[in-house]
Amino acid sequence: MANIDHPLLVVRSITNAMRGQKILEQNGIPAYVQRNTLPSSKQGCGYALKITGSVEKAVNLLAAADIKVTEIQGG
Amino acid sequence: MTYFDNAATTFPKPLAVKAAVDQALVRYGANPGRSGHDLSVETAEQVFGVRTKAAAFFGAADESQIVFTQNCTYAVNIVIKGLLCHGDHVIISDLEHNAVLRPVHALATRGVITYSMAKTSLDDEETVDAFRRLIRPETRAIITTHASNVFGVKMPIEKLAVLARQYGLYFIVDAAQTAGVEPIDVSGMGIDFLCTAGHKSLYGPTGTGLLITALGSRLTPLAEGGTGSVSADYNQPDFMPDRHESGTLNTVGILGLGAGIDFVNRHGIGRIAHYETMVARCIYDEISTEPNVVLYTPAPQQGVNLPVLSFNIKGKTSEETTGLLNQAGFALRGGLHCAPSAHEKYGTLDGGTARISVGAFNTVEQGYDLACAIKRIARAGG
Repeated sequence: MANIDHPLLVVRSITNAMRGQKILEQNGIPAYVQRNTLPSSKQGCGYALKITGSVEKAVNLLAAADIKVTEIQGG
Repeated sequence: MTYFDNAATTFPKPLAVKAAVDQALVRYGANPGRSGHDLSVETAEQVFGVRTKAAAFFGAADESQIVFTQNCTYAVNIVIKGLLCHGDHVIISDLEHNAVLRPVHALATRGVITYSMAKTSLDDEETVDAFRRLIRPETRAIITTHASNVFGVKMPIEKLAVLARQYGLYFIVDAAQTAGVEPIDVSGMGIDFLCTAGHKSLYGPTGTGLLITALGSRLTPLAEGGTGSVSADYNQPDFMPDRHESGTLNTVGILGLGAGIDFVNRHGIGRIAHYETMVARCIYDEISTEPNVVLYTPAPQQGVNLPVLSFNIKGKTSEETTGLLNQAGFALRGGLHCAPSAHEKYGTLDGGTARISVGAFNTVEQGYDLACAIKRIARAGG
């Protein structure tokens, strides 16, 4: 589950999640790939990155790599 | 049995490929990208690792540009049928495999597109000029093999990429025969869509292929279905690689392919090509002096053509020749090799050719033995 220390950044696919994990960790943000535990009726099931660090920085890094964060849980 | 049919699929495979396949079966058996349990995520990590290797190997910007397919033909079909629209015109070479020729011809037969076939030459400039002369206002793409699967003749793809760019055309390359023996950098070489087999000179298992592109989102999918992503949406994902990877992936094949890419990286494309060319050259030199043997191309030369030799023995069909060689313990392919226009060009459509295709596990001694067997057959009944 997401919490204030470890927000979840929901992305669109497992490949996006693993690309994102690599990019975040290269930039000093620990990230863990897990299933999105709160699948929405709009998006359905998918994967998320549980991070330790700045959400804004993480989202920007992912966006720069064309990885869309569809939802942020916690943080 | 000595195997010289590596252009069809390489055999044997490296032991590391066998080990990776074994690991996939016993350790990474869960479905990648579908579940959140550890086994699924670990398998997905393994698959992602192969995407990373493939992206680096072919100069793709990132893993999202790697689509796993069942073979090169399927990758080619994804591109041709997903890209071309009513009224489009495309130019192909006269050396194409049916992987390109048939989908293009099928679209033309249905009245969707028109196509022209460029007459290639051993002179690169003549080949490029032949393509240039066929460009029309409605031309949308140049589609070419990187090298002929029958005659080993290489196409000047970097020059053709420049031509395509100059005229605003998509540039699509069938690299089934070259991936693993010729350096390919999709970004640096200006290739919009690279299609290749995983089971030939990348030494992966059969049932593996790759489409490498930064433009995958522009293609209408050939197949829609489950991707494990945005699953509430009735529409196929518009992002890569999910857009073109419906259904459960061939994890076993993909992990084997990853080990195959490692094998090529470990030995080096240049070294493998040099070695295979040396073996092919030994065979060529031996059989080219035999009066009853007909060869169709100049001697193999690294960087110029592939270690693939087509030949015939006078008085025999190619299938008779390969049948006799089979009896002598050599595995070669005869016939048209799924490339009728290439045979039309070389005057071998009636009867085809016997093909020697060298792999990394062939030896010079095997090459001499094969050449001796060919000469014996040629002298006995030529």
